[in-house]
Amino acid sequence: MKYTNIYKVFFGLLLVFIPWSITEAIYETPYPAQEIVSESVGFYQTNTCRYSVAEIFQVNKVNPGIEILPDLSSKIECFGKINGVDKAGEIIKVYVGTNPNIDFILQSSFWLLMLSFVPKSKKYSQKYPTSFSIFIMTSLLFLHLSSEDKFYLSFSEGFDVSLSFNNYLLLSLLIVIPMVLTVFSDLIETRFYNLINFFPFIFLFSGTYNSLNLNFFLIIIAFIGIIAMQEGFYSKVFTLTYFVFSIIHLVNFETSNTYFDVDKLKGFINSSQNKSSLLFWIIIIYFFINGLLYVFKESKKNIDLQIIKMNLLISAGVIVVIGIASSVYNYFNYLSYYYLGLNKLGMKSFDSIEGNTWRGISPSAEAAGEYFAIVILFWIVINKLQLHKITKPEIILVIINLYGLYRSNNFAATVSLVIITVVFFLNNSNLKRQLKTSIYIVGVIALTAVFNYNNDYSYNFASKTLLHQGISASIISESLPGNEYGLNAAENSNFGQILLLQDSDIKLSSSLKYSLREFNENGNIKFLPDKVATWSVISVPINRSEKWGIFLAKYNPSVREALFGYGPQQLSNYYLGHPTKYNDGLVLPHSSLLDFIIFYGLVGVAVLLLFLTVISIKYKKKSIFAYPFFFILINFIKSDSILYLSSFVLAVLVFNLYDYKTIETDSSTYD
Amino acid sequence: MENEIIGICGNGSLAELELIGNDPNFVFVNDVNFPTLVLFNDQGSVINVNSWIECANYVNGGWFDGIYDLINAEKYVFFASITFLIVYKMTTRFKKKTTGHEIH
Repeated sequence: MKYTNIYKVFFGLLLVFIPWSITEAIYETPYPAQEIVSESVGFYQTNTCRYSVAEIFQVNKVNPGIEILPDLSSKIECFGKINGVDKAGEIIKVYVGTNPNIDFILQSSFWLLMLSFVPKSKKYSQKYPTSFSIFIMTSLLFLHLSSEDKFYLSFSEGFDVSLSFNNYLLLSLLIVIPMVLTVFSDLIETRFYNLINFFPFIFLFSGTYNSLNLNFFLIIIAFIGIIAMQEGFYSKVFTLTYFVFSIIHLVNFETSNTYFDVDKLKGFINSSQNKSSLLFWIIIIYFFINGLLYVFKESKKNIDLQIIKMNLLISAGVIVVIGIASSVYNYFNYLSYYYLGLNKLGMKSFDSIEGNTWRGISPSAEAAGEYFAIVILFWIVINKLQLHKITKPEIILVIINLYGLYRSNNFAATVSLVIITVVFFLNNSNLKRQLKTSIYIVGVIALTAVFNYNNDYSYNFASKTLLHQGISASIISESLPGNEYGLNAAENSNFGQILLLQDSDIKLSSSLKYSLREFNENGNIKFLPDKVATWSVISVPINRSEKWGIFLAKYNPSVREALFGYGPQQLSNYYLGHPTKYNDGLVLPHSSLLDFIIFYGLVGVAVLLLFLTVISIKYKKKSIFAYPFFFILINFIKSDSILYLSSFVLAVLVFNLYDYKTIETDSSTYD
Repeated sequence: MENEIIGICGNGSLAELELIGNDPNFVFVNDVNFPTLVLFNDQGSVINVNSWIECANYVNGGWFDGIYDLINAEKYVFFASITFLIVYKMTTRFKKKTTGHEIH
């Protein structure tokens, strides 16, 4: 190991252990730390901010009865100390003091250190100094802190963003941006062209700050996006389209004094509903996408598929291993949450939960399953294209990945992986065209038969399920009259009657009302199935009728909002704008397509689909792009992955692989 | 306040504390079994207390056990960060100018 790497590892260990080991040096603690059991809960409740994590670790090395959680409301001086203990059933919750100012510095430092392990490439030279970009990013941070103050006030009573030379709380937060970005600029000077080869580690180091609604990668990639603009890199079509959408979003935005609990979407979603916070997300998302495109464009000549393949396998393998370790050891669970920047704490049990899923350290089992599956897909495609011999470490890592995929219980990802892999091998085989066509026909018939065998719902039932679920999620008056069996119009799925009801009887969202009218009143076009019925029929076998029904019940846009959306990362209007039975807890739409409709409306979706259709037709023979592209497209329809930064980055990079020139040995065609 | 007293001084009889409240001539007796504690007030004064009752009496009067409460920690974080930034900038600039080395 090089000397510099030894220093880095040493510094990393200091960053991991020192903050949780600072003890009260000023005076003798009258009582030593005690074992955390039911009897000592009162002791720790009165002795807050006194014992460090290291101190309680010494007397609680193995204590499965405790759960370690961050206490976001702590003062700086209580950072890393036990700031509260509560008994919750059989488990004792131990709250460790954390603080936004320290989190911002400590977590950023750790992730910068991790970035420094990216091997050096040729030097990247900028024409312009970075000071302007740093100034813009610092201003954006101020805009974020002032516009999303409700997020910070929810755990920090004294949070104050008034601009004053005495407001050190604000100043100490703002100064972190110049610090981080100055170091980052120096680091990427010699690593810029290699960043793309190491992007898979964004799934391991999620980069979400513990007590800020920000993500480290959002900041640094947006920073690159600003540099790119200075260098003259931006897509005119994308910029113009985005600008038009942004103006519409800002002009028509309805401000509300609501606070959206970001929960596991922390760092990549707007927590407030005001114009300033919307402006922040509009600007940062634009720079973020521009930064991603710039990194791809500038470094596509340096893309090494073998390195990417191994990094995908390693990062996914480490995710599984850390997921297992953090589910069995509570200290590791907390430290992995903090230093990997997880959106939420990893699972504390090795047992599967609802739906037989196990998410490990990922925010959602669905997103984790998709990642494990696409890693395997990339491994297969790259190995086949580059005629690479499979090595032993690869086999071990693939087995670990398969285990992760199995535990995530993502049926859609597994099935789509199998189908796409089969299609890939068929397309790359030397079989005759007629034989290939026959295999496809038999395959489609077999799949349809299996599908029908496993779904014994009638078309009539399946076509109405979505609307029925939507109505069930809506708020219905208790005084609604019933029929002779005591069932009211909603329970009876009598759509015609529901449409005639008053707003006081049932609170229907505009989207549900529209869907009901479409289904009930507009006659079917001959030979074409009804669009609402088709959507409903699709939703049943993929287990999305309930979630998409709830989406219909909640989604209440005006015509303009339906066409252009609420704005990037703006979920609060959708989530809290219309009362339903699901206004508490984070019930997401469970479809990235629906998420995109919320953000950019039907026009936005049309523009995106047009772009994706064009590139998919034009570059369908480019295997490295086509197979992962279709995999993502299929899976994103039924998952919320686009709401997670790492999955968003993966999607943008895969969609841009059409522009990647590789020496492919295949001659794949889509017959 | 009760929690604060127990937190700083440990367990003891709070009833005793009420008794001395009205006695200006009360003399605190050192308790050899009580480890001496250092308390601070908001003017920055420091006092050593040698018994539980003495400790409880002072904590009840607004004294606390850490000078932390007097420190604006954010101010220190801010100035430490500024210092780091200046030193880092100067070091890297100097390094680049003299040796042409990049940052590791």
